[in-house]
Amino acid sequence: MIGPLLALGLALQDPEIGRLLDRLEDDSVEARDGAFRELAARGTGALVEIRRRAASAQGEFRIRLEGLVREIERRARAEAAQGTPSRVSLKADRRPLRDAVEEIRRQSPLAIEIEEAAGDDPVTLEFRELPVFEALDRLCRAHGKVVLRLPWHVKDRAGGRSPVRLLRGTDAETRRHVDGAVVVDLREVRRLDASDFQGKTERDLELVFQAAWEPSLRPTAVRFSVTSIEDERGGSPGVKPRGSLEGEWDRALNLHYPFHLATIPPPGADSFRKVSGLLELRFPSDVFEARIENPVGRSGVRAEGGEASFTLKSFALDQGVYRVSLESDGPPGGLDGGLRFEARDTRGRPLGRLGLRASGRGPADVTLSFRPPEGAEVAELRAILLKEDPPVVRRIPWTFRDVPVR
Amino acid sequence: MRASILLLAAGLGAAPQESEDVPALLRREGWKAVRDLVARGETARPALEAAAASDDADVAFLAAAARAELELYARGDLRPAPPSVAFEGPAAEAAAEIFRRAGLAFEPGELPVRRVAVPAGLGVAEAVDRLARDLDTEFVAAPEGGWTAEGKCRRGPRFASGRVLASLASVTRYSGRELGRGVDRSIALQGEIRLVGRLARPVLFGDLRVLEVRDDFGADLREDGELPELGVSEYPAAGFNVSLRPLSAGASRIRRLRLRLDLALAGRRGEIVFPLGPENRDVKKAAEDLTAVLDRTSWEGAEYRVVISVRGRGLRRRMGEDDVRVLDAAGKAWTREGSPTGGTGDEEVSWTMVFRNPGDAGEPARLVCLAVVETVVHSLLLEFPEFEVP
Repeated sequence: MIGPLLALGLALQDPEIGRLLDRLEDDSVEARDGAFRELAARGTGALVEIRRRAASAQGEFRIRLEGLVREIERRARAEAAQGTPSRVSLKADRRPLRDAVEEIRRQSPLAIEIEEAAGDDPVTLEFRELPVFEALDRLCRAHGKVVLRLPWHVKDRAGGRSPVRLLRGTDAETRRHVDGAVVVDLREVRRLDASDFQGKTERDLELVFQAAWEPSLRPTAVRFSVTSIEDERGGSPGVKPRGSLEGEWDRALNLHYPFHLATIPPPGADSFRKVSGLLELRFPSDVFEARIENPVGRSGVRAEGGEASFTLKSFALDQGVYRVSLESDGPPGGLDGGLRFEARDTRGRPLGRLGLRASGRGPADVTLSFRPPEGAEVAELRAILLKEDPPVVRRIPWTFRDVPVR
Repeated sequence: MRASILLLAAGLGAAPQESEDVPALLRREGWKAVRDLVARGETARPALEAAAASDDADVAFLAAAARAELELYARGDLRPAPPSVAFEGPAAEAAAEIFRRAGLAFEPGELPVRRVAVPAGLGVAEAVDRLARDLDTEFVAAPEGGWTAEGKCRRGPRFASGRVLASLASVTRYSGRELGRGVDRSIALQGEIRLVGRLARPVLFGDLRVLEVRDDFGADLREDGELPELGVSEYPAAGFNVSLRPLSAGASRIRRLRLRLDLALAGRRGEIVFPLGPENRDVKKAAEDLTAVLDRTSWEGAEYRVVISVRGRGLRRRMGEDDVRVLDAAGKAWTREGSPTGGTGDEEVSWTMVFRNPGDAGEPARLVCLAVVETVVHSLLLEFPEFEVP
């Protein structure tokens, strides 16, 4: 209760909100729009006062205030959909690296491992409230003899989340760009010179990039591109860009991109002066979720969640397969604006994709079936509706200098 | 030069003279001496055995190559082929004659219509290689078991001796720099080994071993660990990939590359027998290099269900699903229902099979797996001439 009361108190004490609300009644369109934008930007902290004013407002002013409430709520949902990066703090004065990593790991959902041989090395640094990749970046730089390695695959062989690793190495030689909860790493420079004995030698230079973001960030699509490369003489060796990678909602992703260059550096060139590019993460503009807890055996239960609302008709186990029948308010579908259903276990993990059979648009009868993993217990049925209207795109430009290519 | 060496010129089929110095001959004549010694047959074997134990690596390698070829003939896995006779005429006739001597059919395919000259005294592989270079075409095994001409002659380093033809298709210098973690360098070779002849027994699997590889500064480029990647499924052609250490600083060539292909042929077939009781669970049996596990048996109504797995190399060519049988005490077979479910790999099969009483059989008493339980290994030795690394 302390949070809302505090928010209420703050809202009442903030005379600026009152002045902005007054401007919503201004005769000038520009003044009204400006006030709308400023109030919307204040977020959920302004909602109490806006609602209080709306309760007594009339006519067009009331409509404007209700629209403002919807916009603030939509923005809050979109922010939640984009995920909130963890914040980690550390104070280490010649502490073993293993301990420092463990402390960071405790404050973050990221799986982190450290090479055993480096565990006893002492490290000294202090930071507060940093996104975890920034924290790990600082740690590597402070230590100097470990490097941050991102996993090649999202999941390890046992199905768990693949860890990032701190391995023995020379951090000064790495090329890494950290932007809050997102990291881009130039992992490898590969060079092939192949002769087919026919008098032709194929030369290929490949830059292998990796990008990763905290599991709490949930982009629906990712695009990675190399935009320019300058060799030592200021020339461009050419770039053959690859396509984008479409991510999956609600999965922590990482990716690696091999880039083949059109030409190799000229003889005598040992490095690229500058390699630049762009990582774009796309997020939904709005998300609706509706859920029913412990759905097995229940019927006639309503799940409210705005446009994701649905009514459960039955949820039963039949010869090892769960069969679910429900009526959705909106049209079922995939990521592209449609409604999607998930069953989750007691730890909130999705139990695989649900088979989906549905018909029509708008309110629809939906039949789902899925075979749960052995021993899994269904704790929740969830409907999710993502909207990209338009999508929120976060652009992260990156540049690496003096990239060795020999 | 010792005078006795001159006996070789007329000495096909003759035993080496007591005074003959086979190591010196091998050192001096190289693969030609191998051909001549093999042509003498078993009479050359004692001298080759001695030479194969020589401290001189070149002599030992060539003697081992000759001995290995003799072994192929001695065990009846390949018929010896007489050397070429001098011929001048159409290429198709020359090729057909060379392959005929090796016991193989030949279809001209893409063979150029030209006249060629073949000298006398060449071994089968040498003669095929000579024709391939002269006609700028490649001779490859045809699907029906014969040979044919197809495409251009491969220009990479080649080897031809006895019944073995080999060529390198590519050499790749690889360098991978993991930023902050150092550089990994290696050399990769791709090539193919072809056996010009029809083996009497099926090939089950092959292992390629790098016996010696050195750069022009004499550095040993052999990698530790696993055998090179080799595909023998398209026998008589075996494609291979070999990974090597990087050249030493300043080196630019591979001066010596010696390989040995160990081909495992199907030997004796045998039975692996599991006596069946009311409960059969996790019973292990082994026969030579094969291991079989009867995971379990169960009844489902009148159906007798068997879950069995077998491990061994080249398994696809060693046993089929019909080779697993359920018999009663009198040896009467139960009938298998449908195809087994499970996986069939080249090194492991795991099958669930359902059997049904044909009507007049007794209770299941034995489960029998018939398989090739013995392998016969033949080695083919080869080496490539010096070549440049890009």
